[in-house]
Amino acid sequence: MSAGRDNLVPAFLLHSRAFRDTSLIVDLLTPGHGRVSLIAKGVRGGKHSRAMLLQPFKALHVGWVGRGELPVLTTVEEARSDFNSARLQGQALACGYYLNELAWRLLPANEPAAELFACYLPTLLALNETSRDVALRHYEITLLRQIGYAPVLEHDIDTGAAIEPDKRYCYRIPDGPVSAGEHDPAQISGAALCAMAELSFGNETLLREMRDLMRRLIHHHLDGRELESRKMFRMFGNLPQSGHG
Amino acid sequence: MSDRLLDDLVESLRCLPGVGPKSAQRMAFHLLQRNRDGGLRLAELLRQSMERISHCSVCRNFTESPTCGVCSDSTRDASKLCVVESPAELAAIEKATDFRGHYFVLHGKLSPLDGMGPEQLGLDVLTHTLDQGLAREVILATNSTVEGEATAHYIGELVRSRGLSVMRIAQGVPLGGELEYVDGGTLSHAFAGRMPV
Ligand SMILES: [Zn+2]
Repeated sequence: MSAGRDNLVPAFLLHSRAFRDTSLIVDLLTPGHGRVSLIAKGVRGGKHSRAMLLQPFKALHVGWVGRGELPVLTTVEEARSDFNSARLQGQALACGYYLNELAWRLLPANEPAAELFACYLPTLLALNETSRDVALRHYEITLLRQIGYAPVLEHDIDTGAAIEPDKRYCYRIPDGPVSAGEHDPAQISGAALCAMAELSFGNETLLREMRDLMRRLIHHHLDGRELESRKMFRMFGNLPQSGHG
Repeated sequence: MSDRLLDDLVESLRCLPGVGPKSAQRMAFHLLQRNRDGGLRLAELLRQSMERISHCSVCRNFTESPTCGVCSDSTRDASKLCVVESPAELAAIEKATDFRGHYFVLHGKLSPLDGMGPEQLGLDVLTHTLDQGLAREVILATNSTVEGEATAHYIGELVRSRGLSVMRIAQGVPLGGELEYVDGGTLSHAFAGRMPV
């Protein structure tokens, strides 16, 4: 598997870790190969321009050679982009890491992920906006669809009947919604399911219902592992207020 | 069987950064052939250092005493506190700049996906130091990587909430650059050009 000999591949860095003395193992999100793990040789310890580029949230173009376990990164260039990662601070930054952590943990290696890739930069751009929650739900749904676990949102999985906005449902994780008995816990409204199916998110209450459902679904697909980026989000939320904004 | 000790020595030397099997063997032969005294001295100092050097209770830099030389030097200006990621960066700042205040060493940076949070960076020790009330100005000298900036932002908020002034070293250091490797002139310039944030 080689890429970018003739045409470089667009990419975002999801995660990097030190490898041996001077190298990095980088996990990248690409459209054609999904999550790719590469070794970036000789980039640590010094003023190497490649180390400066291999930062999260930076639009990149990359090339690599080699097959097997760890192909070698051969080229990395900064792509032209309107996005400046310095704009992400505090909880918005934690949300950026959340995007990376989800893709890093859930995307299989070397399988195309064009839909998720197309969704990544617009989601980053929305993290400082009021539309942040909507963008995050969109990203989560896109990711689950990309890995073959698109959530069922349109019909009751027991009866096959279409979801009715004014009924209450129980979401059987990970299968789908069934109509709820009066005392069933963790109910979700038909309205929230319909809104999520259309990716049109009306009000705060619906958004909260959808966030809770997505959290349960993602928790399931992560086999119950806690997300580190969520800890970071809470950490920034718990900062004392300085009164300077 | 008889060369077991030599093999183990070569293998152990490889725990040093940048030392592969070839250089490890060269080091072992060198010490055995030409410098047994040096080897013995090294062995003794390594043992003592590994057992006795730990973290300063105030700034977390390496020291063999409960409090390090910098923290206990009364001629230094305790009203200025410089936060760095590593002891190597502290050394680089000491060498390249005329800063003679106090330090705090994080031994890392916020690294959310790898579980490096406030606890791992000893920020409880830092807030304790700040609450002692000696520091008036905190200089954030973390690297200008995404994680270094996140660390600076977080600590900056902790400092500001205590009504102290927060400075960030000038960004003459390119994004992704590590302070430890920046040349002295650039570092001195970045330090002198620190700005309130
Ligand atoms: Zn100290």
